[in-house]
Amino acid sequence: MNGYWNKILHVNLSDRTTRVEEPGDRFFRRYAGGRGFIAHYLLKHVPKGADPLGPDNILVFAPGVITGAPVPGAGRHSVGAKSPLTGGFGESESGGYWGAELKRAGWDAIVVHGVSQAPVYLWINDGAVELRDAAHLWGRVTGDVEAAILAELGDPRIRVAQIGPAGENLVRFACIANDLNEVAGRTGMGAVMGSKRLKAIAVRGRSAVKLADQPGLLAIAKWVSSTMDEKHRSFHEFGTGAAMQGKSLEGGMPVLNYRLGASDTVARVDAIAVRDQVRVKMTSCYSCSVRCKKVIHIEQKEEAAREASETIYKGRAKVGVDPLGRYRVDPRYGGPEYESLAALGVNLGLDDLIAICKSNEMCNYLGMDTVSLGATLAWAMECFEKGVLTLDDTGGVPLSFHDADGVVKLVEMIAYRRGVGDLLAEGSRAAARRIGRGSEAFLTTVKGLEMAMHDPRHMPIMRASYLLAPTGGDHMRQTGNRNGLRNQVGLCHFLAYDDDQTLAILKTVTGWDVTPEELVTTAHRGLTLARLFNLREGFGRADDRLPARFSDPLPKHAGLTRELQDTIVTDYYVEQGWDGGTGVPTAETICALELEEDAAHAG
Amino acid sequence: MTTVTVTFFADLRRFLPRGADGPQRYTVREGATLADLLAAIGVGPDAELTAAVDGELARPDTPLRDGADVMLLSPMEGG
Repeated sequence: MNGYWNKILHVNLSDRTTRVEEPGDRFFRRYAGGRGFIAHYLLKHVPKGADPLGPDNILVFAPGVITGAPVPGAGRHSVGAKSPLTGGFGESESGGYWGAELKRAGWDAIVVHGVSQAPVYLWINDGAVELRDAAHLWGRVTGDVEAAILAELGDPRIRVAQIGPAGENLVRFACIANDLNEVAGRTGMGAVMGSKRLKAIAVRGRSAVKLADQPGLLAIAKWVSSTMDEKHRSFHEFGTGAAMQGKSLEGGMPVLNYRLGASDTVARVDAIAVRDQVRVKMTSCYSCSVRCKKVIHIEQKEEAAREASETIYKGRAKVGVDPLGRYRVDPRYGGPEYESLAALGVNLGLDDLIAICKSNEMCNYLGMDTVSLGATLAWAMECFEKGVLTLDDTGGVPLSFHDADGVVKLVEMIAYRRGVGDLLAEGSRAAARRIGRGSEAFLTTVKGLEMAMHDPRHMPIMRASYLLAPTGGDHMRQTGNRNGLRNQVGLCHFLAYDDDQTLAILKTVTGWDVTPEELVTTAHRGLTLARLFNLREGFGRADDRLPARFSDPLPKHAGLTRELQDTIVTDYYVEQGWDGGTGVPTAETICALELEEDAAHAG
Repeated sequence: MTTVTVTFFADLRRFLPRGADGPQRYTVREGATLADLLAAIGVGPDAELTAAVDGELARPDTPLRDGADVMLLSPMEGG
């Protein structure tokens, strides 16, 4: 048995019991991890119509069979549950070290059931599992919590996944942060964790993941290092966000709630500006030589910045300074990636890089998804601009585009559900339903999930992703075989492995005699399982549609007609082996994917 | 001859000369187009990129003037 341990940990918070499931080789080869595990367990354990924030929902932490192997890109894990933001299949991926640490502790996944009476955290020390009191951690931000847990347990190598105050306050787009600067951001998994009063999962593992062919895997790892300039240079130098000027030039940049495709000020807030003004270093995920994660550090005063540059970074990096003396940004929380620069910046009409970095840092330490938060603010600001929301509605708080300091204040109001923040904490679709008045016209959600910062009018490849991703407005092209497979096995989408290399990684880790056709089937299986869950929860073809905003043209791109969207949807249904009219997986497809048992839970 | 300044963004930076950073100067024949410049840099005709000349979106047949600023950008990325 290589790549996995055949051990799934089930934790019931209601009665504080744990049990170990050993599902066998066939289970791992069939589902692989990530979405496959999550959809399987959601169908099996969550009753139809369950309240996402109630005791019947489960929360699944799911690395894949590759996660934890010593090869670049193998630091991924997914978190899934029924989403409190969409009411459907909820799932989000994260990088960093936590998922690999869980594997190194001897666990392939964690399924959390029930609700704790009082705040707790889970401590996994290799095979030992313990629920510990978290009353002293409740209400605290992520940096404080991680420091407290490491001190309490006495091991600085412990990895922590946790919620911030936003998750405790059931903000419907609350995230789960791990390693402080990585987040499973999308679909509100942090709110589910908060509803269970599970503050954190601390993990320490000391066993290397077993490999079928270590020399073969190391050869692939060396390929990444030796081709860095050719294959990963931009990620290595900038992370994401270095292409924003190109996107704007092409007229595809989300600006002012997706109404414009370009902004003259993009260059003030892109990853190049980040590098030049506030970035102190790049850092990596588990076992990855690409090192695509920005770390920024900003001080309020020039003197403090100079001192930090000399003492912390030994003169090798220049700490940024806020010329207005407003904000300090803590390097423990990493730095903004493209989605955050766009969602908290350009789409809100902002060119204030310091304030954008502050909002991003706050989202990390308070525990919120920057995409949904930014898009919800953009929706609210357009409502305010058009008089649909007034100062009477907002308690006197203006919701204005171009107001960077206002956004910083709103981030905190949402996390703590203060004032208008309570409405916005529901996410834009629920907020629009609550206030009505035509505000639905300004939504940028699919299935209730705010779309990411890639305009499908500009990028054809995003159309199927947004229309058909089981999570909703998801930009990660999770509808495709390549990304679908990587999600399940636990391999980063940013690594430039071709299909043969992905196959080779899977073979060298697991020893499986796997074929390209089987990999396609694995991805189809995961997508079909998630589809079955969504259908069971009441989603259908009518939900596979872009919001009205995207029927409008951009200056450089045509709007997307209903007919065009219908064609994309039908073609995809047929390609997946689902009914071309309804999107219901056919009996033949269920049989071919060997999903009869799972489908029995979908009725 | 026509000398232009080329800035490589994001993934297009893989076409920077080894060890180089920042804008690069290239000299092409008078009357050369963007396609000629790309060929001189070594960017294949099927490369996915967005190009701008003096701040305006450019096509392969866009002519280059002496002193032009050329931007080579990728419009695609995750995040």
